[in-house]
Amino acid sequence: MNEWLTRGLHAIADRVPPAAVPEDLFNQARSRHRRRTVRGGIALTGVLLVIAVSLVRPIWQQPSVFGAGGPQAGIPTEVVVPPHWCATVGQSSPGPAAAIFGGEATRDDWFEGRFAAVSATGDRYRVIDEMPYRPPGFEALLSPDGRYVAHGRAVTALTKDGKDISYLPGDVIAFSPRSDRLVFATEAELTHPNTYTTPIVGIYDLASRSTVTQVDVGSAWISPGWTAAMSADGRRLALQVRDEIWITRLEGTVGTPYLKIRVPGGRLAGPGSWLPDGRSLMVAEPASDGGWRLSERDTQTGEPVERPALPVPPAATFLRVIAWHSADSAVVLAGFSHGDVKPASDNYDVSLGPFRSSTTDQVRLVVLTRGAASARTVLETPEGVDDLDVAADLATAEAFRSPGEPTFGPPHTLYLIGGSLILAAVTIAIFVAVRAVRNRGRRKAAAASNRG
Amino acid sequence: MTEHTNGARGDFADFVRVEVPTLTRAAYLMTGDRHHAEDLVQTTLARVAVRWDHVDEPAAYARRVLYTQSVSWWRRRAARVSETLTARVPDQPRLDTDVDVAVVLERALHRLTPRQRAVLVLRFFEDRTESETAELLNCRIGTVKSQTRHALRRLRELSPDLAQLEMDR
Repeated sequence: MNEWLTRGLHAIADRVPPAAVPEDLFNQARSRHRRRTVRGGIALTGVLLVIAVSLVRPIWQQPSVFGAGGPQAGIPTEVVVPPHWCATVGQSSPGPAAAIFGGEATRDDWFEGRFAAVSATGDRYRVIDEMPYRPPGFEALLSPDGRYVAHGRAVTALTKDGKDISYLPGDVIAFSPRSDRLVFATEAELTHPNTYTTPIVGIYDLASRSTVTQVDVGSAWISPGWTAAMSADGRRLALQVRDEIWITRLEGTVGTPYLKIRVPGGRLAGPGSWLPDGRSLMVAEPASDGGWRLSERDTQTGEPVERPALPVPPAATFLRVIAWHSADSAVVLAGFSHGDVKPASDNYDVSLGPFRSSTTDQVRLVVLTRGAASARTVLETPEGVDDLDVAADLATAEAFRSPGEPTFGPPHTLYLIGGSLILAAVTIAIFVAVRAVRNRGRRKAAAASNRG
Repeated sequence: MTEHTNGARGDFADFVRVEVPTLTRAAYLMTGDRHHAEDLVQTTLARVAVRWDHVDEPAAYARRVLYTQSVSWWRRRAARVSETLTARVPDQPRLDTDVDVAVVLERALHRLTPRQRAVLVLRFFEDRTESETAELLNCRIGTVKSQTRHALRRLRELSPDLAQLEMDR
C-alpha cells in the first residue's frame, strides 16, 4: 500500500498551485511581531503593576479611626524624621494624625516647605509639601481630632486622600475644640501710610463652608500664628491683640469683645488656654530665668486667679498649652534651646508667627500637674525638628502610646517617576548592548563564512 | 533601513521562491483545503521572517512550524471538515489510474486526525525517516510508529478499495 499511498499523495499535491505570498511579508511580519511584543510587554507590566499595587496598597492605607473598634490611638512617645521618599498625604492617607512636625530635618533644597504627619493609630508617616514652609504648631495647625491640617488658607483632610477640602477667607489662627470650625484672620485693606492691617477675624464653619461670625477688632493687627483660642463650649473666643487679650462672645454674625485683659510682655498661652470650666484662661509671661511661666486670668474680670502653679520646664523658649486632662493637669508644648538661654522676647515679625522663637532647637510635649515637682516629658522631637503640634483630643485623654515600626507609604511621586525613568534607561541600555554584541557575532560569523 | 536588513530581506525572498511550492503541497495535504493551506503557508513564512536572523536552517524550521501549526488545536478546529452521516454508502470510483486513487485517498485523508495526516505526509509524501518525522513533530519515535499504524488501518477501513488495490498489485 505504501507505494500507492506515496503516488496518491503526490497526485493530490501536484494539482495545488503555490500559495500566494504578500510581497512585503518579511517586513510586515517583523513589524507586527515587534508591535505585539511591545503591546505584550506593556500589558504584562500593567498586570504586574496592578497585582503589585493591590497586594501592597493595604499596607499603605490601613483604616484608622479614633475610639473603640480600631487600634489604640495615642500620641507616640517618639517620632522619627521621615525619609525623602516618604509618601505625601495626597498619595496615601495616613488617617487621623497624632502629631504634625517639621524643621530643618524635614526640609531640604528640593522640598523647602515639607513637614510630616504621624498617624494616631500606628506609626504611619506621611508628608505635606507646600511652599512656603508653614511651621507646624504655628502656621500649620492640627485639628483637635487629628483629621485636618490647616496650613495657611488651605484645610487638608488627612482621612480623604489628603485633598484640600476647603479654603479659608484668611490665614488660620485656631481650631474650635470640636474641630468643626476655624478662626482665621485676614488683611482687608491697605491703610495710611502704607501699612498692612488684618482687621478681619472670622469664624469659619467647615460643614457649610462659610463665615458664621465676624469679630470686630477695629484696625488691630492680628499677627499670624497661634493668637486665638476658643472655649471648650465654643461660645467664646480669646484673641491676642498686641499686648492685650480680647474676649468675645460668639453670638450672632458679629462678635464684640466684652473684656480686654492687658498682659504686658505676655501672650495667650495657646489653643488650650481656656480651662475646662471656662472661668479662667492661661497666659504665658516672661520668667526670671529667661524662659516662660504660666499664670491664670479670670475671664469675667481679667484679674489674676491664685492657684498652685504648674511646674513649667525651666528656660523654655516658648510654652503652648494644648489641652487639659483636668483643671489641675495640662498638656503643654515647650520649646528648648541647646545654647545659652536668652531672655524671652516677643518676635513680632510679619513673616513669622509671633511666638515662634528662633532660638528653639527642639520641642517637648510635657504634662504639667499642679503641685508636682517637675514636668513629665512625654515626647521630645528629634534633632532638627523645632515645630510640633499634636491632636488635642488625644492630649486631653492623655492617650500616649509607645512607638511602633514606622512605615512611610508608597514612594514619593517624584521618586517613582525618577525610578521608572532610570529603570527604563537601564533596560534600553542593556537591550542595545545585547543587540550590539549579537550583531557583532553575526557579522564575524558571516565574514568567516565568506572567507571559507 | 540598514544594509543588513536589506540583505536579509533579499535572502528571505529567495527562500520564499524556492520553498513555497513544496510547503503549499504539504500544507494542502495537511489541511485538505486550498484556502487553509495558503493561510498555513503564510503563517509559517511570517514566523520564519520573524526568526530569520536567528535560524540556521530556515527550510527545516519552516517545516517544523508548518507541521506543528497544522496540528495545533485552534487550527484543527478551524480546518476540520464537518462530517455528514448518510444511510447510503457513497459510490466508490474504480481505481484504474493514479487520479482515481488520489480522489479516494483525498476523501479518506479528510477523516484522519491532523496528527495522523501529518505523520502520513511526512513519511510517504516527503519520504522522511521515522526519526526525522519524530523530530519535526516534536514527539517520540514510538509515537510516530503508532500514529502511522493507526493512520494506515484507518485508511483501509475508510477505503477498502485501497487495501484491495494493495493486494491486487
